[in-house]
Amino acid sequence: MEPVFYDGDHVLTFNWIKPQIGDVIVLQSGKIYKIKRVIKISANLIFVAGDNKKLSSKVRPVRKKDVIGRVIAEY
Amino acid sequence: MNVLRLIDRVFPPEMVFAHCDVPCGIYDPHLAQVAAHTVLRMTNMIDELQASSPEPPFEERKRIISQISRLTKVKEEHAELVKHEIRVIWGDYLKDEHLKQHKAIHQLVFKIMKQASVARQNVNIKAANELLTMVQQFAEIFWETKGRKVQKVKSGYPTEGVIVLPK
Repeated sequence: MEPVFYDGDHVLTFNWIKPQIGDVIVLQSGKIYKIKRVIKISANLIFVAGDNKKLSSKVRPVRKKDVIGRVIAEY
Repeated sequence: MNVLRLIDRVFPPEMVFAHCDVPCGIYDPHLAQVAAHTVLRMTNMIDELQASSPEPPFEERKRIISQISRLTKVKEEHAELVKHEIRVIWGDYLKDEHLKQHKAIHQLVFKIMKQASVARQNVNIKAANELLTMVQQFAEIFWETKGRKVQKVKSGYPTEGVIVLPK
């Protein structure tokens, strides 16, 4: 997610509001958590991608129920 | 914000990843080409095996069977390696923008998968050569997606032929 987030950054998430296009979210993927940016939203899916296009340029669908929360702060 | 870091010391946060796998971004069709050359080489070597007579002695039969087994094993492994390497580039590297530029890539990958199986299942020099040609076509497209011109250099392998490399 560089240049916005780097290894070792801490982020605070908030899950009372629905993510919007352009938001950064944390989502559950199997047993791990991932941080991605929302690219598109459909009825049941949220499409996400990484910011660092050199390393993460794929757009992936995510079920809305797998969204942990929207990132509201980096500290 | 330091307060949040202090809270994290008491309640350690979960680790979050930015990528699904190792984000090395390193892809290269070179290994697929070497594997295709190997399939051709093994096919040639099996094809060249000759017995001293129609009914060779038992010791000679053992030697030939052993040799064919070894060559076939390597041929099998490298045909699978071709498929693996091409699949990884196709599945992990290629993106929509590449597909718009190279509309035939899906069909080419499909043909490579099939051709690698044909080359694996048979002792067929023509099939092995066709596999190598297809993998080289794939290599040319791969480097074009990176904006690189390609050159065909002599492989220097016993199979002769070329390797497609970026200029």
